[in-house]
Amino acid sequence: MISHRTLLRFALSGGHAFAWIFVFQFYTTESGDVATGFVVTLLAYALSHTIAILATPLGARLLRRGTTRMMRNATLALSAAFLVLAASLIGLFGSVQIGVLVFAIGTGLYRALYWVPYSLSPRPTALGEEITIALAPALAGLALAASSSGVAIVLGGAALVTAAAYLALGSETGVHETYVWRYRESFHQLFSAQHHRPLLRSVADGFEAGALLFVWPLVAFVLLGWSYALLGLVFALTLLATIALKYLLPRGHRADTPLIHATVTVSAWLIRGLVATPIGIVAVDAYADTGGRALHRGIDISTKDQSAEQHTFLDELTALKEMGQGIGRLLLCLAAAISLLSFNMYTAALVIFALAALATVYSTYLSTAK
Amino acid sequence: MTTFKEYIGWGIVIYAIVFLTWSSLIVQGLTEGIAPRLFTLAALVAVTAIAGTSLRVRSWQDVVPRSLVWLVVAALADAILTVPFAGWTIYADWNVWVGYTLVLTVPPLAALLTTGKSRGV
Repeated sequence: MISHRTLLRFALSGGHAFAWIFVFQFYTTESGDVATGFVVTLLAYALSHTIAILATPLGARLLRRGTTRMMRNATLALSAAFLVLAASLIGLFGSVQIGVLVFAIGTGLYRALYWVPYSLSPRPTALGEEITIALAPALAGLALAASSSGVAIVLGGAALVTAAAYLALGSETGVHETYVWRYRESFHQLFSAQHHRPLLRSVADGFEAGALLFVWPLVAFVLLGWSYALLGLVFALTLLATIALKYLLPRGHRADTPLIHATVTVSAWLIRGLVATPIGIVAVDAYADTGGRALHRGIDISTKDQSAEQHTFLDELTALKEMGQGIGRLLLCLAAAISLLSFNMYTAALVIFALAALATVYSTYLSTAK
Repeated sequence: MTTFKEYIGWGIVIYAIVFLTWSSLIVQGLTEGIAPRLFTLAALVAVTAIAGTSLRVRSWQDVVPRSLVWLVVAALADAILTVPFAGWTIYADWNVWVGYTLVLTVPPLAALLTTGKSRGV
């Protein structure tokens, strides 16, 4: 299991954020306009999360066939998504659009099927593994800077490592669980008065996570002069700084009270609107991580937001949380598209960051208010 | 078959009617100003409301997964049918995003107005 998780996290750390940046750069080049490229990429991201919302109750019903089997299916979908995107971007397919479509659907299915592992007790990761995972973005950035086949190396490599993660799961079926709600009932429960507050909190968390893990990397890429090497280095340094903070900060700090988390996260979003240098980006992200969540959750680039509660549980509420977070991401896409169509990119980014800060405040309020 | 009709069929119908409405306006040379756009959006609201109320559902919550699928169908149809002619800049048009928002929100709202609040599960 540890080997599977390490391989998967390595692939995500090196491939996932870059994959969306490739899509962003492709559509920017195609349309000749950064805002249009951003908006089309937002649409593809929204498609991915729409698929995830729709498939989560279906995936949850498959729990009865075994958790490990479900994880294998999820990992296979992710590997195929990386592979098809790589093949389309290097011209093996006639249409890059089909590649982006398959990538969005594949990552959506992966997300819908892979929340189960977070229901298992988190296992400690060795420091060496953490550092290896943190170095993945730098390696990807170097490959992109050094080779004309960088896109194929990064996405093909991510597909191969994800396939290795698939093989590492073995042939066991895992724990058999029962998800009691039928498909329609899941949506009834999602919008029921009983789950009103958890839904709002999940939506706010999803909004902020989407801003952090999707919008912010694209904005940072533009701020860094469209340099893959610099972006990879910044990602890697940020992850290494998070690991260092995890080991250096006194244990008492890791209490991660809602007030501390909200204060640090909100101020980090406001500072993000001011930074324009690589060091500034590393500093603000490392500062944001002192808020606590990343110190608990480790450094998964795209999976950490799936464990929003930090302690996890395997039941229907987890499915609702995932669906709520998906709705939050759809709202983020809508807000970001409206901002990009109304303002210049810098102002639009400021608006999105401010909304993400508000989402954090609202989520914290809901978690503490009685 | 009912599932296909409800999830995919209505998505295609919604897109087809809006596409036909806009195409008719283009043929008639009625594309300038805000009126043709409002007319097309009105057609979109009408057809999505009909779709939302034609489903055999207990409450508006049942319509949400369907409207999500209709949104996907509309976005894919735009990418396949409109982008080759109009280019990627169609997504930089407010109308497209307003349309997607309506596809997502009008059917559950229409169902809410006709069936009332959720009757529980």
